[in-house]
Amino acid sequence: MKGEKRKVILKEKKVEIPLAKEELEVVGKQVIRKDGYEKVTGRLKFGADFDKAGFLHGKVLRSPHAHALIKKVDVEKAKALPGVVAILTAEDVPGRNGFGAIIPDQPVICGEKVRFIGDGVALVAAESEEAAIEALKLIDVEYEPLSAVFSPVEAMKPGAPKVHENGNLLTTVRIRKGDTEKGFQEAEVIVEQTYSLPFVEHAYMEPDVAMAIPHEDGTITVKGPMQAPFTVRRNIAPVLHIPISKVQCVQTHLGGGFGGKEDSSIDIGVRAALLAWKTKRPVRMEYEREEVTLSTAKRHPMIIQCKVGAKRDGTLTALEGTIYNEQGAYASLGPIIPPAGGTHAHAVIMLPGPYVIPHVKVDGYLVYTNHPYGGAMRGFGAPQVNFVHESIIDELAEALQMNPYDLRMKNCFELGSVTATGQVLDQSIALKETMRSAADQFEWFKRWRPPPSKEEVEKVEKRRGVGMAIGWYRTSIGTFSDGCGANVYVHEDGSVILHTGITEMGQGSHTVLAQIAAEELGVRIEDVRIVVPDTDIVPEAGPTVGSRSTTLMGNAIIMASQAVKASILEAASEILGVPAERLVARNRLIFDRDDQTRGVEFKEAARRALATGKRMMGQGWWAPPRPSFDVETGQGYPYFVYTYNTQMAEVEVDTKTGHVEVIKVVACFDIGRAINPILVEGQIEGGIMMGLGYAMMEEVLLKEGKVQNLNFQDYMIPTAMDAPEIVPMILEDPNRYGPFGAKGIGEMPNIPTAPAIINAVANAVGVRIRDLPAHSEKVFHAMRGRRG
Amino acid sequence: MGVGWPRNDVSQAVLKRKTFQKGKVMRDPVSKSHLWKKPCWEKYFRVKTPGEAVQILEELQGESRVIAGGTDLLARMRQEGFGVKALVDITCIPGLGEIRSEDGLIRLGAVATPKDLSQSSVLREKAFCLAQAASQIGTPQIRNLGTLGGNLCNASPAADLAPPLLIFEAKAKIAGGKGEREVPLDSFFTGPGQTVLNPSEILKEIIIPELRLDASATFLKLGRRKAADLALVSVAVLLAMDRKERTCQLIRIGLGSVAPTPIRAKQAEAFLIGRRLDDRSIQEAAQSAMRESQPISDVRASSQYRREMVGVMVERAIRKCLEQLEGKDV
Repeated sequence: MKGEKRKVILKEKKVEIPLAKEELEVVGKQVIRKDGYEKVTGRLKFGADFDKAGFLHGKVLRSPHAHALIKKVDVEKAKALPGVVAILTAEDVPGRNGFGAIIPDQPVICGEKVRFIGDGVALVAAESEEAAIEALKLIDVEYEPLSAVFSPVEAMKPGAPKVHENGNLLTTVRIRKGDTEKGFQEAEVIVEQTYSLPFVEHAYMEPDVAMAIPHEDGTITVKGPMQAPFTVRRNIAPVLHIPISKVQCVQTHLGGGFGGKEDSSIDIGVRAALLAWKTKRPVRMEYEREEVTLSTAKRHPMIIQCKVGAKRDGTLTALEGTIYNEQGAYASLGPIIPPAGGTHAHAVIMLPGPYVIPHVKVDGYLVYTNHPYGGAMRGFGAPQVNFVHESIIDELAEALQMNPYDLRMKNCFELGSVTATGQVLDQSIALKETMRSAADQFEWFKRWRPPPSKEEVEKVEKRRGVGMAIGWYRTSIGTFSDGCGANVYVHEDGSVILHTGITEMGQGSHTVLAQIAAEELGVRIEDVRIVVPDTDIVPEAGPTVGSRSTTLMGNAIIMASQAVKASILEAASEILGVPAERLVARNRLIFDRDDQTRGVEFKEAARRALATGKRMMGQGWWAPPRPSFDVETGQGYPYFVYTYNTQMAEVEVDTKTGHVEVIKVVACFDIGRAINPILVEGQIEGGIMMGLGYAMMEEVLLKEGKVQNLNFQDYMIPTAMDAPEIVPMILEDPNRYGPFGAKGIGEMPNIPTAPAIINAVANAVGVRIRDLPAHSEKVFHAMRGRRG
Repeated sequence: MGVGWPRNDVSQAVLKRKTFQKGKVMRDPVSKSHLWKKPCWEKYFRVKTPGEAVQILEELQGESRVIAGGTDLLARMRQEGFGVKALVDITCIPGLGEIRSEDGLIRLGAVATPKDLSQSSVLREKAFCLAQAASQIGTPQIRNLGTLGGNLCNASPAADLAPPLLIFEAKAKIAGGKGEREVPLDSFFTGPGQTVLNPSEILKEIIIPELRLDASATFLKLGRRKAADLALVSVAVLLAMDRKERTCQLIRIGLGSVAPTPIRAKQAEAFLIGRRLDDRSIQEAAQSAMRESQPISDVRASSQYRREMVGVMVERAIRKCLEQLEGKDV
C-alpha cells in the first residue's frame, strides 16, 4: 500500500497528491542544516573573508546633493596620487550607463545629474584602500544644485521638480470591483483614516562585497553575496557591452539578504565589474555599513488613505484606498513586471486584505522623489498595506463595538472566496483554522477586553492589552518569467549533486531543497550536495524572492529527480528481475513493493546504470500556472497560491513613559506542508522579530534628503533582549501545486506582527498609532494628547 | 568608553602574533579595512607605569591620546576622521584595573571594565547601583573591552557610570607631570567630551565611600530598546531617611543624558532634604529635577520628551529607594 501513491506520482511526473506524513523519510523531518556546522563554528567564509591579495580596491564617490546638475568632474589631482590605478566617470562606461532590477534607470556613474544623496559620481580603483579613500577626497566635482522633492504627494503636484525626465509618476495601478459608491450607501458604519509607513533598512549583518575578476578570453567573473545572481548577470552584460554568456556570477555565502541583496548586489557588482573591465585587473569592493544605509534600497515608505464600510452586523460592504508609494530616486523593484510583479502592484493587490468585500476601489501611485530608493524587503509592499487593513479593521470593530476577532471571522477568506481581483480561492486555504488555533492557544476570548477609558489608563503605571492581525501572502512573483530549473546528477557511489540557482541566505533553502531531492530519489539527506549558485553552471532559477524557492524550485527538483531516478530504477529492475513500476526507492534501498525482501542498494543500482550507459542526470523546469492581472481594473489571477497567517500579541505599555513591551506573540500559519518544521519555526521567529522592529523602532530618519541614522548606534533594530515569548504554530492544508503540498513561508511571518502589536497598544491604553514606528516618545505624546 | 586594542589575554594573543608573524600583513582588529574613515596613528605605546604614560603624553604634547578599551576613541576617530601621532595604551599598568575596599573607601582602578564592575563582589555588596549601571552599558563585547576611565574621560553626557558615581560623591585621582591630584567628580566634567584633564594627565582611580548602612541607592536607565542602547535619560538616586518621621535625611540625585554633562539635581535635593517623604514631596522634587535638566533634541528623542522623562524617572528612582529602605531591617 505504501508504494501505491508513489507509483501515481512517478507516472504523472508531477506531485499532485501530497503524501501522508508517515510515508515520508526526509521531508517533514527536522534534519540538520546543510550549512549548520560551518556557520556555528565560524569556518564558513563570507564575501569579506576572502583573501584580498592581488585585488585592487574600488570605491564610489557619492553625491552630497539630493538633486543637482553635474557641471564638471576634475579627476587630474586624484589620478596623480601614488597607488591610484583608475578613476572612472560617466564617459568611461563602455555600454549602457544604467542598471536596475526592473528598469535600468540608475546610472552606474552619474553624468548629467545626481538624484539623491549617495548617488555615484565617480569610481576609483587603487592598490590600497587608503589610496582609494584619499583619491576620493581629491576628485573635484562642481555641482549646480536643483530644487528637490522629498514627498510623493508633493512630487505628484504640477510644477514639482522633475526627478526623471518623464515626470515623477512612475506607475499607476488600480483595482475596480463593483461600485464602491453603492457599497458605502449600503454601509451603516464607515471608518476613514490615513496611515503612514517609514523607510526601513534591511540591516542585514553582512555589508555588501563584490570581487570582479576579468579573464584573458574576454569573460568576467563577479563573486559576492548575491540574492539574485541572474539579475546581476543580466545587468553587468549590457553595461560592459558584452553578451550575457561572457559574464559569470558566483554567489558567496550570504550573511542575510531580506530582499535587500537583490538590489545592492547589482549596484556593487556592476561597479566592481566595470572597474575590473577597465583596469584589466581583479577589483574588490566593500561597502561600509554607512554606505549600505545611505545608498542601497529600503522598504518603500507609503502614505495610505483608506475607507471601509460595513453593516451593523459587521458585514463589509466597501473599501476604498489611495496609496502614495514613495519610490525614491530610482525604480529598483517598484514598477510592474508584467503582469503583476513589482512591489507596487503587489501592494495594491494586497490592500483589501484577506477579506471578502463586494465593492473595492484602489488607486496606487508609485512616485519618484529625491530620497534613497525603495526596493524589495521581506513582504514586498505587503507589510505596509497589511498594517493599514489590519488597523482599520480594528478601528471598525471598535466603531461597531464588536470583538475584532468576530469581525475578522465574519469577513475573511475561506474555500471558494473571491478576492478583490476576482480570483477564486479554490484550494489550500486554512485562514479561519489559523484564527481558531491561534485563539485557542492565546486564550483570546478570555484575555480580550474592550479598550479602557482615559481614567482607567491614568490610574496605573503599566497596562496590558491584546491585539490580533491576520494576513495572506503570495508564493511566486506574479510575472510571466517565474520559471526555474534544476539539474540532478547521480553518481555511481549513490551520491548526488544538485544544481540550483536558488540562493541560501540563512533561510535554510538549501537544506529544504536537498530534503526534497533526497525524498524523491530515495537517498539520505547527507547524500545530496548542493553546489553554490554559479551562473556558468546552474540553470536559470530567477531570483530568490517572493517566498518562491521551496515551492517552485522544489517542483523543478522533483521533476529532475524523477528523470534520473527512472534510470536507476531501470538498472535495479535488471538486477532484481522485477518490473520497474513495482520498485520503490527509500533510504538508500530499492525494493519490490509486493515483496519487500527483494531489494538492492541504491548505489548498486547507480553503478549498474552508469555501466550500462543509462542517463545519469535529470533536468527539471517548473513554472507556476500563468498569472493574469490588468493594471487598469486590477482584475485577474496574479498569484497561484497564498500562505495564510494569524498573529496575536500581548503588550504591556508603560503609561508614564510610553514604552511598549511585547510580552507574547502567538502566530499560526497555513503553509501547505512544512518540509522542515524547525526551519519553518526559525523563519517564524525571525520574521516576528523583524515585524516587532517595524512596529516599534525601525525608521530611516531623513532630513532634507540626508539619512540621519547611518549606523547601528542610531538605527535601532530589536535585540534578543526585546524578544517576547513567541509561539509558532504550523497548520498544513496542502497546496495542490506544491512539492509535497508546500507553500512559501519566508516573508509571511513579518507581515501581521506590526498591526497585531499596534492593535494591542490601542487595546491597552486606548490610543491608536497610525504612523510607524510606535516608539516610546510617540506613544507618550499620543497618550498625552488623549489626556488633552 | 575608551577604545582600542583588546585587553588582557586577547591583547597577549595579538602580541604573540606580532612576534611570530613578522613581515606578514597583520589582520589586527583595529586597522582592518572596515573603516569609513580610517583611524590612524604612527606609534602605539603599551606602558607599564602611569609615569611612563605621562612622560610620553608630555613629549608629544597634544598629538597623542590615551587608549584603554578603545570602544569610544576608535569609533570617534573613524567617524570624525582624525589621526594621532601616538596612542598610549594604559591597560597593562599593574593594578590599574583593581577594585578594592579599604578603610570605608572603595577604590576603582581606571581600566576596570564594566564587566569587572558589574561582577565585583565589593560593589555588589557596597555600591550595588554602580554594578547595576555597569551591567547596562552597551553590549557584552563593549562591557568586556571598555573601561571605567574611558566611560568618564570620554565625557559623554550619556555615560552610564557617571550618575551613580555622582551620587556617591566620587573623587577622581589624576596623575600628571607635577604629581597626583584629586578632583571631585562633579567638577570633573566641563562639557560634552571635555574634562578637567590636561593633555598630559591620565585618570588613575575613582574613589567612593561605601554606602551608609541606613541608605539606599538605585540606578534607572531609559533607552529606546532594552539593551545595547545609549540612555535617553538615566537617573541615580541615593536616599536615607529618618524611619520614625519618614523625613529625608540624605538625598542625592544624579542625571545622565539631559545636560551638557552628567549633573546632580541639587535644587531637587535641597527641596527634599528634611521633608517628609510622601507622594507630594516626591513629585515636587521630580518637577524640580525636570526644571534643572537642559536636554537637547537629537535623532533619539526630543528635548521635551527627555525633560518629561526626568520627572518620571526621578520619581520612580526615589520610590524604589524608599521601597528598598522599607525592606531593610536597620
